[in-house]
Parts: sequence; C-alpha cells; structure tokens
Amino acid sequence: MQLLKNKYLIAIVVVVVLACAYLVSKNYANGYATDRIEAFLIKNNLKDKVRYDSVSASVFGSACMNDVTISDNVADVEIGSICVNKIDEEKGSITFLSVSASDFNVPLANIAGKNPYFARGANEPIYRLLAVGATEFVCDMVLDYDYDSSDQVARMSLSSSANELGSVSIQYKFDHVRQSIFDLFANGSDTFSNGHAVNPLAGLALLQNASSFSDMRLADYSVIINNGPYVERLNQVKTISTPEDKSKWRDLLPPLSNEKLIKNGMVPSEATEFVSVYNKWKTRGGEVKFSSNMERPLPLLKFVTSRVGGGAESFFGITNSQASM
Amino acid sequence: MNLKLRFIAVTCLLLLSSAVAYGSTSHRLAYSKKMGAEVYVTQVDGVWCQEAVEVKVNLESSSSLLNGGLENFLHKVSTVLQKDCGTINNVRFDVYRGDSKALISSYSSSAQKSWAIVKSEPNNKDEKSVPESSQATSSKGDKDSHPASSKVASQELKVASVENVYGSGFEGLFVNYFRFNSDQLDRNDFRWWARDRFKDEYRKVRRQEFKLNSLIEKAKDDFTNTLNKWDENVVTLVAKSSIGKYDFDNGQFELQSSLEGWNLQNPYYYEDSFHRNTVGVFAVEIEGADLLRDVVMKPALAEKFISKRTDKWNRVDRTVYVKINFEIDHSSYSISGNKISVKGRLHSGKVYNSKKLSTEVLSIENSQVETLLAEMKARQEAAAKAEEERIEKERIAAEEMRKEQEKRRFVAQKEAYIASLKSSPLSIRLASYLYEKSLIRPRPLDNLADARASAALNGGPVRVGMLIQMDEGGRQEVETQWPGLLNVNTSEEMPELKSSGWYLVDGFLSVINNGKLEPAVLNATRLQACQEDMCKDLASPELIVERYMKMKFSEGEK
Repeated sequence: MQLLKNKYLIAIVVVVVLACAYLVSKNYANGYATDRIEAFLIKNNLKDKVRYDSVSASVFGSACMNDVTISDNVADVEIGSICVNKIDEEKGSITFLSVSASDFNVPLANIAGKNPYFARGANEPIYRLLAVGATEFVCDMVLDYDYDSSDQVARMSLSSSANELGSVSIQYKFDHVRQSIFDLFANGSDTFSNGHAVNPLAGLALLQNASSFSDMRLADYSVIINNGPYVERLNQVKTISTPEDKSKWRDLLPPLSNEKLIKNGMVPSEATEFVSVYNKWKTRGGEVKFSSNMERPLPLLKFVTSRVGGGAESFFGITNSQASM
Repeated sequence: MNLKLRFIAVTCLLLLSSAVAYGSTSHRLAYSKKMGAEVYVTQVDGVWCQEAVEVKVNLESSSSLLNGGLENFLHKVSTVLQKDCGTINNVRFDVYRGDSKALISSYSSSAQKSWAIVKSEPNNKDEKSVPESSQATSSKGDKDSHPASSKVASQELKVASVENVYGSGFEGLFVNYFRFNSDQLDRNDFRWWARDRFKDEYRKVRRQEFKLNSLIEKAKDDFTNTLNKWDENVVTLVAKSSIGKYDFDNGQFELQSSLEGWNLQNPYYYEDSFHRNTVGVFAVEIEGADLLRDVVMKPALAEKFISKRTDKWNRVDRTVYVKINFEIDHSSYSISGNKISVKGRLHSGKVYNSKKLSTEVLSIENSQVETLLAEMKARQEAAAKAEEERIEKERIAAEEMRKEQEKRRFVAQKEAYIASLKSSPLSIRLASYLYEKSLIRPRPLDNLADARASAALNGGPVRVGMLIQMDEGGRQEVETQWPGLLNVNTSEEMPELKSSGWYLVDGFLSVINNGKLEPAVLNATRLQACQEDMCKDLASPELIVERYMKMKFSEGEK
C-alpha cells in the first residue's frame, strides 16, 4: 500500500512538474500564470498537496515556480524552482520547450522508513542510496524538447545530476513524428490525472492515438551515466564485514549476454567489446556512454511489439549500440 | 364405585401429589376433586418424610368417602407414603369434614402392625389445627383466613423464609436484600411477596385487579412487618447432594460438588411475567461452605452406612442433604440485570443422612467455623505452595533434561560444527564467537553499508555485531581504521580502546539522516579485545565450539 502511495507521490510529482511547467510556459505574466496554476491545483484537488512560494516570469521568455512543496501523508518533496526557460508554439502545439528543476529534494529515509512494508529486494536502489548516506536525494534536472514539424523530427534530452552521487544525460532523436502526438501531451492535465490517481483512461487515450505512433522511429540515442561519486562513497562505507570477506552485494544491473547481442544483430567483435566495457563499468563505476550506431532508424512500435521480453541485449543489439568509458 | 375405578381415582390423586404449599407447615400430598378429598402431611422443619408422619384428610361434604371406603382409601395413601419415604414407620390419619372443619375420625397405621389401618382415638391437641392451605381453600371467606394465615406466616417466617424448599433460600435472600435496599421496592416486589405469602388468595384474585390490589396492599403491610420482625443476617439453604466413594486413605466421604457457589432462581419466574420484574436470581458465594464437603467416618461405620444404602443390585444411594446457614455480607450486594450477587460466610451447617434431616453425618457449629476456616486456608495455602514447588521442581527437572538432551545432541554433532566452521569465512566464525545462536544458525557479522541503511530506515539505532580496528585509542568517538567512517563509544566498565587494536563489538549503530556521508556512531554494549589481526585468535573453530559448550551447558556460567 505504502509502495503504491510512493508511486502515487511520484506520479503526482511528474504530473505536477509537467502540468505546472506547461501552464507556466503558456503564461508569461506572473499574475496570469499564478491564476492559471491556482485554477489547475483547485480543479485537480491538489491545493492541499502542492504549495509554492512565488511565481516569477521574465520578459526574455522564462517563467519559474519557486520553493514548491508537494506534500503527502508520507513525506514532503521539495523543489527549489521549476522553470520554463523557453517555449515556442506553432498552431497550438509546442515545438520547443526547455524546462528545468533545481534542488529537487526527495527525503528517501522518511519515505522508506515510514513504509512498514519496505522490503530491500523491491527497493534495492533506495536501500543502496541510504547505505551511502543519501538519506535525502537532491538533484537538478533539465528537460529539452525540440520539434521540427516540416521534417517531423523530434529531439529530446534529459539531464540530471545529484549531489555527490552522479549524473545522467539522455538524448533521443525521433523521426516520422506526427504533430498529433504532442496534442496528447498538450492536453496533459485532463488526460493523465483526475486529481487523485493516474487516470486509467489515459492508457485508452494512448491506444486511440496509437496510429500517431505507428510510424515513429528512433533515429539516434545516447545515454551518459556517471556513477563515480556513488561508487566512491560505497567504497568508503564497506559492504563487507571483514577485510578478507569475499561476499558481494547482489548485482543491481543485469548481466549482458554476448550471444544475445549477436543474435540481435551486433557484430561479434563489437558485442565482446560492448560487454567488456559494460562489465568494467559495473565493477568499477565511473562515466559510461551508450550510444546508437544504426544504419537505419528503428520503428518504435514494431520494436516494442516484437521484442517484448528480449532484455537489454535486444535494444543494444538492434540499435548496434556502442559503449565507452 | 368399583375397585378399579377407585384405583384409577387414587392414582390420579397421587399424580397430583407434586403440589407443594410454600410457607406452610403441611405438605399437600394429594387432591381428588372426584372423590372430594384433600390429603396433607405435616412437615417438620420443612420436611414431611419422618419416622412418624401425621396425615390430615379433608373430605368435602359431598365426598363419597363419607359413605364408605375410607379405610381402603387410607390404606392406599399409606402405601404411597411408604413408597415415597423409606424411613416411615408410623402414620396417623386425622379425617376432617371440610365444610365444618370437624374431626370425624382418626386412624393409625404402622409397620409393626403390617400397615393395617386401625381406628384410634382423636388427637385432641391438633383437633382444630386444620392446615393453613386447607383454610385458604375452604369455602370460608378471605376475612376469616387472613388473620390466621398472617399469624401463622409471622410465626413461621424465620423458618419459612430461610428454608422454604430444598435448594432454595430465595425468600430469605429476598427479605434480606430489601431490608438493606428498601428504596428499591416497588409494586412488582410486593406482588411477588403476595404470591409467595398468600398463595391461595393470590391464585383466586390475580385476574381481578381490585381484589389483587387489595392483596398487594396486604402483602405490603405483611412485608413491612416481616422486615421489622425478621432482622436475621443468617439465611439457610437446604440442598440435595451426593457423596463420592469412600476414601480409605483419609477415612472420609467427599461431597461430589462444591457448596460455595449457588444460583437461587426466583421460583415464580416462569409462572407469571409480572414476577420477572423483581429479582430473577440470587447468585450466592459462601466462603467456607466447602468445610461441609468432607464427611469423616470410620471405616466400619462407613461400611454400615453404605450397606444400608445398597440395594439388591448393589447400587448405592449416595444422596445426602446439606443444610447451610450462612451469614450475608450485605455490603457485597451487586446487581446485574435482574441478577443479584451476594457474598456470605458459613455460619454453621450440617450434612444429613436423609431428607428428614434428622440424622446428621457431619455438623459444624458456628464456634468451630473460624478455626476450621483458618485450618482450611492453611491447608489450601500449603497445598498451593506444595503444588507450586512441585511445578517448579518439574520445570527445573524438565529444563535440566532438555539441557542434557541438547548437550548430548550438541556433543554428537560437535565435530560437524567444527568442520562447518572450518569451511566458513572469518565473518561467520567471528559471529559464532560473538553470538551463541550464530553457531547453530550461522550468519555473518554486520557490514557498515547494510548497518547504515538499516539505521537510516529505522530512523534510530539498530543492533549490530561488527569487527572493528581502532585508528586511535580512547573511549568516546574513537575513529576506526576498519571499516572506516565509524566512530565508537564505550562505557567506563569496558576496557579502553587501544590504538590499532582489533575488537569484536556488539552494540547499537546510528546515522544522521542529513543526506551527507558522515561517520556512523557505534555505542558498544559488549566488547571483546583481540590479540591477532582481524580477531583471528577468536576464530578458531575448536575454541568457538568449546566456548559455546561452556557457556551453554556448564552450571552457573552463561
């Protein structure tokens, strides 16, 4: 139940961030933005859960909600500011959006500690963060989205860095992206939330728009993960009980199979290299980059429907990914 | 009327013999409307079954027995009396003409004379003492019967109220309760009293509200008189009980049930719904009543006693009658619904051989109660203590046996434990040294990362067993080399931590939940200094097993 609540909290956070960002982005003037945010919170019964200190907008096109607190029975999630740095619209749809959140603070120890059913197995990442002292998870996030309606190409990038733990940067490029996809997100507040729980009809709406996704292809991706600071912390706190203890914590990341990568289209030598880098990173930590090297873009819907259960090797293999440290 | 019809009539008459006249000195044995005859047996102390019984027969003016067949009728009554009362030897019959209450004739019948009905001289003493119930049912008006009834009732009250029927002292308790709680009296209580004291009148008038009201008013006066006159705090109960088999070791019979708890039901509770609006039941607890349970008897006498009660099929009649006089603690009255609970204490009591309550087999006088109660309590306490000691002894013996068996099992598996430890990593061996249970159910020592996560989740200290190596020496906030990022606190009773020294520690670890990686704090509750690096001197499997045996199975050591 508590786990569901946590998920609910996370859902609220995501919805609030997206919706508030969207609303802020649509209303440059402080007062107008404030009114719209208030109306949104009241309409969705979030008024008693979401508090913020102020809304500020600049003449250069950015708007921010400052000192946002999202409360739940379990704990408060605090966000220093949520800003829409730039937004462009074309025919009512967003063609460019840059959103950032700073000092995004999730009190992990409180959330997990208050959950009487907290089990390590199901919450291993949280457990590991607590072990290295990350009882409060503080991070900054930047989300950029750029859509060119003439050639139907969309680029998305998300980067996040957490204090003394590491960072992640993800970039995707899609083509054959129809504008109707974004209409779905433009009406996000009504589609995805009824104010109490994630709207089950959202799934139905997605299915109805499946045709919009049918042609969408992944043209390019790259993911850079740096877990060096986390591993350094972990080395300090010792996961073994004696200096000669050979026991290890269970692997958080799954092992990769050479054969499966090859089966999914990767050249054997590259597959070996990929697995080698992956294992090295798993063991030592640090910065790793995974990126695609595709000859042809990957039809997403086809990939999803045909490769369900294929594991990470399926994605890495078919995108002919490369790994480097 | 031929003989057969007479027999049927008498049988019917005898079937009606269950009617009992509460509060009277006579027991209504039988009544036959057809024959116009009513038969009463005189009671002594509420019991009619005596060695010598007096029977009064009221014949209505229209009774066929006035014209003949009286002696035959009396013979049948005599037969019934013998059947109902085994101890009867002698019966005297006084025959009255009901309308004039005149004594017509007297007869006697005895075992000595083979129960022949013999005409005898009238009993002048009782010539006018027609039974109360007979007066009530006679054709005379109520005015005539009331004074007599009232008088008799008042005279009889001490007996009637305390011993009205076997097993029920309800009336006595009723009076006693309202003596101390007169403010609770209402019309329903007086109505009950009218039913109890003026049974026949009540029966006649209960459907006519005005007459009933008059009777209730009369009952009210009667009850007030009763309260004024009867100020006893001692109530008597008479109950049927049974003895168990003779206890040859202690030379006694024991009554088969406890006499300390009684539930006395309102006798008219189911007769009329009005009687449910008064006391429904008295729940009585009598301290010391069980003093009457042990009927001590010498074996020879006991044998004779049992022999007399044995029939030709060797079945033994074990029935006895107990008469308990108990003193009510009126401060203990408590009410729950229509149930009133009260506590009392044995005043005196007797156990009788028979229903006649003439031959005692056990008697406890009031003067003896105190001493006997003290003795009983002392016996009970001694028995309880002995029982406690027995249980404790058994527990200790069982514990020793369990320990011995455990030891035997352990010794049998000793080599297996040593072999298992030899193949176990250092962490498990040291945990086995630190915790006894870890030897049986192996687990490793705690590592700092897991301990930190548990403490963060717990929001407070968690118990841990860890291997540490000190960086510096001291007692408070001493930093460790192993595992690092850990400060240790020890108490004054523990040896001071030495620089670079290795220790096994049992204690409580806590962290600060501020999102930063700061040293955890370990407050030691048990500390074992080691001679070798990583405490390897404590990791010897033989040492661990021997130490376990010494701690677990040696006397006085733990």
